[in-house]
Amino acid sequence: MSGGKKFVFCEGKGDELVIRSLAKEMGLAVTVEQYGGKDNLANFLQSLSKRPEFAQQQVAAMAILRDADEDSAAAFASVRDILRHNHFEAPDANENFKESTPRVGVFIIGVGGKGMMEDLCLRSVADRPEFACVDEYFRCIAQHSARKEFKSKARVRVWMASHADWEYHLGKAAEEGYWPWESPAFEALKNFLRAL
Amino acid sequence: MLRPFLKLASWLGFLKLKSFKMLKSLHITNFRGFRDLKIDSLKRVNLLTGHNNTGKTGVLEALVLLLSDPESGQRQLLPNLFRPVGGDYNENFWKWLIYNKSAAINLQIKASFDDRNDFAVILHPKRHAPIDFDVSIFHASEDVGGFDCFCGSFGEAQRILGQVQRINFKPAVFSTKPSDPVQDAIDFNRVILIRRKKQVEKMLRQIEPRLLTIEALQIRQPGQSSTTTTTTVPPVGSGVPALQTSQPGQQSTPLIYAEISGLSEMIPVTQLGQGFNRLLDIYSEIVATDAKVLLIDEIENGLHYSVLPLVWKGLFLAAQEFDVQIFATTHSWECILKADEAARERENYELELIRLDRVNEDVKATIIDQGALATAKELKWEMR
Repeated sequence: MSGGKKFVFCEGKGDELVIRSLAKEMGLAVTVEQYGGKDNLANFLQSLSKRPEFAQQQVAAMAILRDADEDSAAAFASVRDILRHNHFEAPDANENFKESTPRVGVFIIGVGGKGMMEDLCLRSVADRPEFACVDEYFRCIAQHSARKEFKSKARVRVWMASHADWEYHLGKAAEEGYWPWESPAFEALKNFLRAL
Repeated sequence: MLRPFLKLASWLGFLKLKSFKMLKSLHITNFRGFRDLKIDSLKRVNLLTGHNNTGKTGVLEALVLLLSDPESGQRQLLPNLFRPVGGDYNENFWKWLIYNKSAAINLQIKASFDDRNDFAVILHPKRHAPIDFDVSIFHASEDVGGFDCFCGSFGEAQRILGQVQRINFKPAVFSTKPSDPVQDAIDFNRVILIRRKKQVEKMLRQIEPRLLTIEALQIRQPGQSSTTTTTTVPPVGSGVPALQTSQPGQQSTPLIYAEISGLSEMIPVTQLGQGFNRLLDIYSEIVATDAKVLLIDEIENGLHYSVLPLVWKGLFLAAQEFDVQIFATTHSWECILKADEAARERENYELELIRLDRVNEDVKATIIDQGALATAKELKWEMR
């Protein structure tokens, strides 16, 4: 069904906005939606087949995106099992598709087998000279306060605070063009979306 | 000659034993746009949705053919029961009951009941111009492990079908046509005649707690007293036109009035809102006809969205109190959500949301369960 609809399902709203912006940049005709967090994926997939597009067999391909968190292999296995449990086909490996009807792909997001969308976006700007200032800021905070650990969501906020006068979260930053889509950091994700 | 007689005796015995409970599944073959439609799960309240021309009203028509008492004449009213048919009924309606208007195939409407019995009507096109059907009726019981079949000319089948009324399959039908307050008043007299007015009032009181009584009154000209209309009442759903209850020179017409706590005089129920009137109409019809299946096409039509919670609450009450099974169609997502909310407020969730989906050249039924509906609400999916 090459002419059918194509869906990308992301964990949350921020991821959805990032993928939608990237897909727009790439000129892809895909529908991007969120599934309400990894803990809701099973409920989501259980209900998905009831949607008119799926019940009426109008869907050519769908992709499930999920954060790697601590372990991308475990994250992939979890998505694969939930897909199969809910009567969807699943690919055998991450960043791949199962050639079924509809085609089903899984992409685990992170850097070096860990992390989340924020890590991927930060990686895309990590070679900028001012990025060292973000690291320096957190080093300074850790030195002078009780707080020693900082998540990548906080790093995104600091990075964006250094580039805009108002609060931009991950998704809004994507919409406003603050993530360089041409960066090699996005290459695997772009290849995956092209294959959808 | 003995064999057909035995079959008939077996059929009538079955009818006597059988008491109506609930349709559990429906299987429609070669009827209208349905080549092979299976609805495997039916509940007490069934809400059909789907795009235009997927066959929502067609399911209601199939249920009329399957369940209605042939002596009521309801089958003959089918062409205009849910939607107007212009011109030649034969060409523009009856022939189109058969899938693809084919003269060479039989159409079958079959239901399973929660007492494990099946019941089916099969129409065999006998002659195409004008259309003429042979009708077969099937019933099956796991107790006897087989089918009995009665075939014959249309007239003969009608005579056999005439016994079906014993099993109380009667459907009450509501279409999108607005109700006529005068006819409603005349119909309400039947409720009074069979002494079930208090039951209707009790039901309506759960919707409008200030309600004390309801009367069908004919208000005469000044100087004349008002009176309840106790003139001849036509059978409800018989297709008989409304009675001319006023005398020559009089302008009075019967209307239903309600006594409401705190009001100095009785008020026409037409002033009590769309939801109240729709439910009064439905309750009266169920009571007056002793219907066990309620068919409502495009239930939201003519109703402001704000009264939908009230109407759904009232319908679930009716389903329980009158022991009726409800089949309704809707185009409205809001209507679906309100039905779901009303169902959740009850002890048991008794709503089945069924969407008809066109898949290639066929129509399939998708059951949207409670979980899927909750996900759809949360993520704002389009599920109609």
